[in-house]
Amino acid sequence: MSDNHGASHALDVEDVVKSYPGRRGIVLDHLSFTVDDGEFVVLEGPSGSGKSTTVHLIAALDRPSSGSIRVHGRELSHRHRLDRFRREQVGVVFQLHNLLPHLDALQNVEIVSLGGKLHRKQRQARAEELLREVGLERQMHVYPPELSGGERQRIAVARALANNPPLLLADEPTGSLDDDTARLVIGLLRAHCVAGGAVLAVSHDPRLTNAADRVLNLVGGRIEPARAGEEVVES
Amino acid sequence: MTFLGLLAHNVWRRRLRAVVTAVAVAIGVTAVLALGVLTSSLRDTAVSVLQIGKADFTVSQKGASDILYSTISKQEIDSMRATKGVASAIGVFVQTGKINADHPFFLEVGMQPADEVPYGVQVVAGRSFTKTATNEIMLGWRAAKDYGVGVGGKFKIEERTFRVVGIFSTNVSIADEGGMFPLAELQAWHTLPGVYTLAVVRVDPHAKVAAIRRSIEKTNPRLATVKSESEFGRVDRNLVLITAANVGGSILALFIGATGVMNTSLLSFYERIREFGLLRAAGWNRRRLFGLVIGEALFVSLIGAAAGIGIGFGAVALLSRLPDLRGVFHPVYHTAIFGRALGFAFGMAVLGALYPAIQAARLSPLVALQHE
Repeated sequence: MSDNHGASHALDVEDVVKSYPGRRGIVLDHLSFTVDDGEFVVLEGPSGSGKSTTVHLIAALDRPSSGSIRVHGRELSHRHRLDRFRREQVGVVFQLHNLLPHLDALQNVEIVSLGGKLHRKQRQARAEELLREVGLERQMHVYPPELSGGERQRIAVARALANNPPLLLADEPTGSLDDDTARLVIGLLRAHCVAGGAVLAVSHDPRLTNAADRVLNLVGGRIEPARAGEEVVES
Repeated sequence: MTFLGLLAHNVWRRRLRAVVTAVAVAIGVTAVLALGVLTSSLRDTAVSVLQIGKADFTVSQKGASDILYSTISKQEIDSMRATKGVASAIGVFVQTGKINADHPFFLEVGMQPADEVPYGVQVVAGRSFTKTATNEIMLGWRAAKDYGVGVGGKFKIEERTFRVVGIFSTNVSIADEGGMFPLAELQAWHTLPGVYTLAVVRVDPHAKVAAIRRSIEKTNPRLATVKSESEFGRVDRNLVLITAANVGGSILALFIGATGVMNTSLLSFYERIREFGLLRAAGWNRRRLFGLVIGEALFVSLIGAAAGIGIGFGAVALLSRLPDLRGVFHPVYHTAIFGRALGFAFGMAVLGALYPAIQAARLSPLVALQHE
């Protein structure tokens, strides 16, 4: 399997199998799909279909049992510095926000850039800029427990974008949000695509699937083929 | 936000625990500092007794519990004088006497007046005592100053009163804080006639000191020669024991402090598994996470070390007021002792935080993020 393909996608998942010993068995069953730069793709499917596992594999938080995952043409399993990949190539919006309660909003965004290329002032400026973009300029020094769910989710998006990654992964980014906040978060994801980045979100929230460029239906660890007239395939 | 700022922030958010850990470290550092100052000061005091004669080497009884309990006979001194290559061998009798409660250990040196100059004694005021005088004393210039006594004055030691006939200087502070007596009179007073404590030996120019030392020890198997500070243990077992107690106490303090740090670091690790997972997922490498845990422990340990050094000064001041140590314990703060105390604080931090730091660095980001 070559490391670089001629015309590389932002993300190329090819024939990926992920299995666990015991009852869970095979979670991803020869999964294949691609996401291009500037594209907003939603991976939907019922609970237990392997959506979150897919995000974890692409974010290099776990390894596939077999198959290939390439980000901008580079095979993930060939990378020696997965920490650098996580810092520079991919941003993850977790389902449960995973904000650090003892750091304020600004520090939560800034902390992921520590040890990167930016100097302290640049890191802070970038975090402030992102928080302004997600409409939290007044909450920069507020701690997560004092913020609403929507505000926390927006901080999580800002944090995922802090290192300016070309690929953004979002696990149920709008699931628990009201319509207005969901619209704002979707707008942020869409803005990342407009800026040339790629977004892969896993969700079964129709507000998100309706906004996507493409929707992939994951069932039993495989992408279900699109059926004629199905509105979710190409928005 | 900087890495150091994050360290300080993380320590501050668990400040009560940090304080308890810092106290454990401070106790360890206090012990290391106080034991270190006590040992080195006692060593300095003891070694300076040997340095008074400014000889090529000193001879004392082998394995005596304390240098002042050493006994050398007149025959042994004569035998040293007869050794080939020896220019002079001066026998001195050294004891301590009590002036008052604040000065329980006044150094008394008995010697022949003729030996004063070769022994390095310079009479700076008045005259020396006569060989057979029974109530004459020469005071060191420091003692004369401390007790406010001059030539012609009276000086009381225990039940006896002496007339000060001169003031001397040796350029060795412990000697200059004491007094000198006619040899026979001091021996008689302490009911040890004909007994010497030390012999200071000078060798002929170009003579081989090592060979002469070997020859004297061979001829007098009861005696040991001492040339350097490191050899002092051969003639003073107490100092060896104190030094051993210092090493043992310091190691114990190290483990007590490290256990405190480990307890805190482990608790912190188990509470922060998700946090560590998030940082790893966001691209922090293992080394940075390892550094975070070790750095936090170091931060707390340094605070503890600073407190421990402060408390250590207080402990040393208290020790120096103990009746048993008054007069013999003159605190000397060598830089090396502070270096050692800081080194121990560093050791406590690293030793205590090593296991939690390794655990944190080895965490799988996904497993850590899913940790409840």
